[in-house]
Amino acid sequence: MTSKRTAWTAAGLGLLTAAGLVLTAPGASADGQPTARELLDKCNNGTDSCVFHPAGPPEEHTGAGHQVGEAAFNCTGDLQRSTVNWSDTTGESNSFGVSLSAEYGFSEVFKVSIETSYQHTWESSHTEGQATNVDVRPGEKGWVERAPKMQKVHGTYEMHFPDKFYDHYIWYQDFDADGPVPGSTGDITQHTAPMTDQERAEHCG
Amino acid sequence: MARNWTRTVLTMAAAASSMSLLGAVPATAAATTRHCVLNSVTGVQHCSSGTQRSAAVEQEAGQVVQGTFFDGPDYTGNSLTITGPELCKKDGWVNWQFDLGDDWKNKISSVQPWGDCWVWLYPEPNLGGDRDGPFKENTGNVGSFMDDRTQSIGFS
Repeated sequence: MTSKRTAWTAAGLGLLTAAGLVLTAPGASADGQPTARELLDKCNNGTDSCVFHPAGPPEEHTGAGHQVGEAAFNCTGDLQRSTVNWSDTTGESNSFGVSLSAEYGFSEVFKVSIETSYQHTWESSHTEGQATNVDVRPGEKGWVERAPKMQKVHGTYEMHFPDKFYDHYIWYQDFDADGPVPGSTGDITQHTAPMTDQERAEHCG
Repeated sequence: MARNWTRTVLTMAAAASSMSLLGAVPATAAATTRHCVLNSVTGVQHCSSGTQRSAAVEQEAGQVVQGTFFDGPDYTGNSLTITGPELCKKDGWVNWQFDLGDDWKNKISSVQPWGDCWVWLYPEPNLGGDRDGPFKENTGNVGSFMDDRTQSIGFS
């Protein structure tokens, strides 16, 4: 059983603070301070501890829609059903432009934190593929768009150093990451529009 | 001369402090979450709306974050971050204790220990009554035993 004891306050504790216990790293290098990337590279690679604290659950949102596969051009006088085969890979992005799939200490800490906190995994990359039918009227083109489901995570790394790192034992670093929702197909939509003269010349001869 | 570290959130003073920082609060702010950082040494609390908890943490540079507490599960809702002068000592004692103000009593649902601390939750002020813990890592749901019951917190 842990006993209750109220800690003392003393001038000595104030000195610890004056010695520079904590700081938040700037995004860019500044005199006497590491860059955020330099700091994160130390996570579990020179730290006593490195913990990621999420500021909330992953926020799901829909990524930008974009064409997948080739467009189908109907050069005939009849309605045509075309099958568009497509494969689409959605990656991640984060505050520092570093893939979390890489074996960096901070990426492992991040992924473990998400898994233990929310019981689901972080996926750095997700590839989805389908064969989608598109009905294209005469003189028109048809195409398929996909808008992936994404999840955004915001939080803070807490790092403790055995020796002063840039004059501080403790550093905090904010971190944002956006990646595909594992196992999600996303929104698949079909679109048609009249061909332009240039498209007609290129595809219908 | 020793002084007791125990601090109680001064609701009115804290509210006045945050108002002076934020200026006029827009009408829509009522619907947003509130994130406060409380310096357990001075009792001063800084709050912000939205998700800018880290910005508030920066204001406490020189302090060590010892724990963050949320009134919703999975780190949702309003949050209270408590800072102190140093890391927990890991000496088998509760190094720091904190009595919640009325605005945070019986609300905590998820916790994040920081600063090498383990977190203990108590349903009465001054670490009284039942005890739940230690919470050693980010915990998205403190469980039914202490959910919405915490009135004081121990950091060991």
